[in-house]
Amino acid sequence: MSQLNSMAIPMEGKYSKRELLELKNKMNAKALAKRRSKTALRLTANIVFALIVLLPLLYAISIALMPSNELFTTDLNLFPKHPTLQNFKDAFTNVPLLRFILNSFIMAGCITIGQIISCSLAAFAFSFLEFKGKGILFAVVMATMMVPGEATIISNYLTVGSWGILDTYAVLIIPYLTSAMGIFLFRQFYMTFPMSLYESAKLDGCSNLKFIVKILIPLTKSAIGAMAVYTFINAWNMYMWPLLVTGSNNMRTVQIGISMLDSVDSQSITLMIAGVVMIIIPSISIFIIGQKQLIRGMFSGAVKG
Amino acid sequence: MAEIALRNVCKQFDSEHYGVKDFTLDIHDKEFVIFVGPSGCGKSTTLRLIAGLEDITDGELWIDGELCNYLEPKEREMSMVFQNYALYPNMTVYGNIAYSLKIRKVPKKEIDQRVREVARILEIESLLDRKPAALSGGQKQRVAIGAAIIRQPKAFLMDEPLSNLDAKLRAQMRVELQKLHKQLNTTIIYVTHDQTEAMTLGTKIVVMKDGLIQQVDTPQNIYDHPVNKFVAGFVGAPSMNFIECEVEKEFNKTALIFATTGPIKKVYLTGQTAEILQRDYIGKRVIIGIRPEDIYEYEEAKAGGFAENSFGIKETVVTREMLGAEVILYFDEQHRTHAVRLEPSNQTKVGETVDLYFDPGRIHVFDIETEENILHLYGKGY
Repeated sequence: MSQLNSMAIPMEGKYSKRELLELKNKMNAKALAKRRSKTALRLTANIVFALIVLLPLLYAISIALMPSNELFTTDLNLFPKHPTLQNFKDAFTNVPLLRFILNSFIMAGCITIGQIISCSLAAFAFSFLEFKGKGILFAVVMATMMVPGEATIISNYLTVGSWGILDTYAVLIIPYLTSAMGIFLFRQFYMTFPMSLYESAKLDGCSNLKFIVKILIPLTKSAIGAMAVYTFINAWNMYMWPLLVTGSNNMRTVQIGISMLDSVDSQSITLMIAGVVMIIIPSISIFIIGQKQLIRGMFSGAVKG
Repeated sequence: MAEIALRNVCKQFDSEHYGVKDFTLDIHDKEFVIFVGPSGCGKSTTLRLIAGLEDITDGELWIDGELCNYLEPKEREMSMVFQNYALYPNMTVYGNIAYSLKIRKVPKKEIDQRVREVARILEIESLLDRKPAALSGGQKQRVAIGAAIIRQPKAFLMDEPLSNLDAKLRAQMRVELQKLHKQLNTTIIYVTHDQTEAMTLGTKIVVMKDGLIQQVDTPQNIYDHPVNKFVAGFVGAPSMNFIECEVEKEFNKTALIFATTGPIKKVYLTGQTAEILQRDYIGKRVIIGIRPEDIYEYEEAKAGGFAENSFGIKETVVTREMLGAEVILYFDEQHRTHAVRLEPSNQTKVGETVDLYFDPGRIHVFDIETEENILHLYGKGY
């Protein structure tokens, strides 16, 4: 606009006021049309990519709603012709799916709460307290991230086996009560926290624990949210460890329970998919609820503010 | 009530680096003590040592006759105002001010009464329900001060509390801090790198450099009798002019001749300094220091009867700053720029020469090796 105005000045004699106004309107309309077409193009591209990314998920939902005879045909069958909820009902009756979901919730919930408590306390020590060997200790904690879980799984199994706690909730939860990733995430978040706030609290007479509960936690809600979502989804999706340490239906988690739907005698793809669709609902819903926190928390250390 | 005494206090960061070295100081009750110095001189570290936020490596800290080296910060009964305010963002202004009393389990009714009293003193009554994010810098600073004074501590520690404020607000807060000091009638220890703040606020100034105390005195004495070249140059704006001179004896007079080529420029000294120079410094070089306001126009001085038996010093003006109430002229001498503060009626333009008179009574002479004031070096007048 300012360009137009400055251009208009030397030509003032050439155009009448009305003509100038028309010219302005014309150019405005042109700019608007250009902007709209750009937005439309971007939107279309996004929708196409979203469909490609979501296709497996959408197809799974579609399969879960199909009667099993519809799936095995030679023609492309993207949508169910006779949608049915029978697969979902069968999934519940064939295996104790509700019990598995409950087990998974208990396990993932306890791991999440445990990790938040232990990781935030450890991160507090690493970022606010001064003690000898702090740097080395932190490096050791970080180094554990490089050890793949599979490498330790046998020794972990032997340890918990010798404790005699196999096939209990304890064995599902205890080995995962803390994580280097969580400590790192919290520490990065605390690093952006002004040190003077801690010092001020100390001069006010605040103990460390009181500082954590009354000041640190209320101010790091987004980091806690991110951590909670991340941990819960990870715990919910655990497969190898629960498979190894649980044996009875009472203790199995959903991820293993779902594989029980696949029996050699009567394999039903639609039934299995229905089970899978059901068990991803909690993780997806948690992600949707917590995604804002997750993104804010994950990037909290990246830029200040 | 607080008598704070530091005895040979050291803070060692690692085997080579000292934050504070051999710091000995007495802070009496109701004093407004300023730690001033360039950044990295250890002034903030000293304050943090007093607060208990850092451990003392060596030496003793006494508060009211009690050895406090190993006391927890909260047991020292100090309160501190930080440069970045350090307000709890999740609490309201009221909550922030009341927090330290809440921790000490003071009855709610009393807390409320005291918070309102503090808010009245600082004129922040209307802000009590707001969160810190909704406050301006000056308001935040007031709240931070409020949170500090509500506890009625033994002493207030302030770590550059005004440096985040703009110039106008800083000047205003300076006045208010002075008022507050009178009103509260307690000890304040204040850290700043701004010599104006130091001069205007303090009843006692501690000038520091590289972790060492350079001089402890009243603002006036620091200004009039700096013990060394560093203190002389640090205090005062524009800062003191330093010129290298050779000491010579001309008949009975002590002459300081500028160590430059070209026309001879010299000043004559009398008094104690001259005696010392005559005795030990003839033929040697010294550094003379003179403040911009102690230099006058030669003609004016002569007319006033001051400049008898002396010569004018001709200098070429390189920059001229008109400040309204005064004009500051800059000239180059020995590859450094020096300043002269003159009456605004002076019309000398850039490139013209000005004839100057250095008031000999206000010339400080520093040893070229130790950079100490020779009067101080010889224990005269100190």
